[in-house]
Amino acid sequence: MNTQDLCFSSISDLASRVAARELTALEVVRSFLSRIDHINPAVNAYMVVTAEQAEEDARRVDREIAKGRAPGVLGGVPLGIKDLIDVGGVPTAAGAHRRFHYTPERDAPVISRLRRAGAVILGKTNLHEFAYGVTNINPHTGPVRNPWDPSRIPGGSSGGSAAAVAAGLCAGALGSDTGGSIRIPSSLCGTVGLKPTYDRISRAGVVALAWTLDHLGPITRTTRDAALLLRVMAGADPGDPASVKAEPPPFDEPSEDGLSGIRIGVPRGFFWERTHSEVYAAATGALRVLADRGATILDVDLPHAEDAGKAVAIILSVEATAYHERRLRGSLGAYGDDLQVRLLRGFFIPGTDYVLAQRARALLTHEFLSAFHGVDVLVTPTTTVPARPIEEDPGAGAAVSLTMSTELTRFTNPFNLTGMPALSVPCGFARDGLPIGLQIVGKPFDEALVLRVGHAYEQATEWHRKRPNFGHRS
Amino acid sequence: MTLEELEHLAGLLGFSLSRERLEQLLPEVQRLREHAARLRELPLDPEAPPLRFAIP
Repeated sequence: MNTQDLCFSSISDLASRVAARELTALEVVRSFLSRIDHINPAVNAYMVVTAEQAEEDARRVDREIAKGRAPGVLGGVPLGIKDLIDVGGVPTAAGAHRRFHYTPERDAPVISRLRRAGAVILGKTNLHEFAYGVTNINPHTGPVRNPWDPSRIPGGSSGGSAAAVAAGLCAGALGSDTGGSIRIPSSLCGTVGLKPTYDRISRAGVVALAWTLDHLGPITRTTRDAALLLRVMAGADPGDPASVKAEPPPFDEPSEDGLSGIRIGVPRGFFWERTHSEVYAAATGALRVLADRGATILDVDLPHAEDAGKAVAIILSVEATAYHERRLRGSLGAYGDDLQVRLLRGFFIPGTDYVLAQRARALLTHEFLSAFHGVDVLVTPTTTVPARPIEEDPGAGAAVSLTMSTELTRFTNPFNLTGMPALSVPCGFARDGLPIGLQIVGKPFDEALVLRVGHAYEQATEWHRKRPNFGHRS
Repeated sequence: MTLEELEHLAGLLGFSLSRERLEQLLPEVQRLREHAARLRELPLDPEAPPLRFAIP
């Protein structure tokens, strides 16, 4: 296996080969570090690469194996971490001005869980400033570039994580998702992204964007890998009393019967409107594939779906402004143009409107749950369009960023509002070579079925195996 | 809401914003107010906000 093949291996494959001593963890980590040296300057996915610590951690895994001890289910697996999640001793920058950086002494609980399972942290990945936007055009860190076309955005806000996975710069990555920030970059970069059920994963040690909408989750190249990371990341944490105790059920691969007996609901109307023709065609083709695998396709009705984004916009605006208020009053000029507009607007929303949006959330959650009475999962496109060009004109940047947020979160943010697990899997490419994503949504805490449907789709298609072409750099 | 009204409100909140920033902000504030107006049309009478309070 050459270095490139190794860097595009699945997490489960890497872990099993390290455990079987076919590869050392140090060899794996050094392969990724070498690739990061060559590729990252073109993508800008990593902000910090903790090479020395990663090599030391890999040696520790190898020593455990040499002593005959099990290295953990992620033994020697190199991961990238979105730079708003605390990694002990490494500055948390959140894509922000350096005056807002801090260096945590301890890992966030989710990082501790990954380390206990043997994972090796390669570094911190780039993001939209404070995770508040979907372009990853960042005035402090520079734009992340889409590995499939460097003139395009990767989507965000976890764009560095998705770009790193797509470019083979880590085996998997962590992202956060408040309105679609795991699923949008996964769709635009051709990766798998899972936003689990709200409260499934502890948010302690993570820079908040909007407390009642924030989720953490994995970005990977396969659904099996997403399932593996979810199993490690999920669980109760005393630092985040809201995190649920229940472990996610084991990932259940489809049997010989494929998806026989599974009912897939297609919410017509809102979730398919304003969709680029190639996205529509790819998602419709994916439904045919799922039907061929044995699923029954049924139309479902979500009469107020369009109102979900309105409630999200109000809740997000108010909570984000509340989180940043002290910094805004002292250091408004340290925020980028689009962040200043996004954060200032929250001051002008009355408290009654915030409660109104939360009451609408209750109504919409009941309505979305009702839609599951006759179906097992919902399927929609993940985004309306493939990746847009990077806006190079700073004067137009703020307006473009705000417009893109509305456009790209259209199909994703309803499931932040309702807290349901939602997965994006690659389902095709536009004619210009840009990836397209399919969103699979489940009932609360039913990640296993969402992953099972995604895995069945992967088994019938080759989209997830495609790699971006870096020419001489690859 | 007019630009002048927004400027006045911003001043009451302690912010002295440039004309350019106010012009960027105004359509966002209006958009969110329109969202709220639409949400008021929903049948919300039975709904309580799902806000969580827990004694630590």
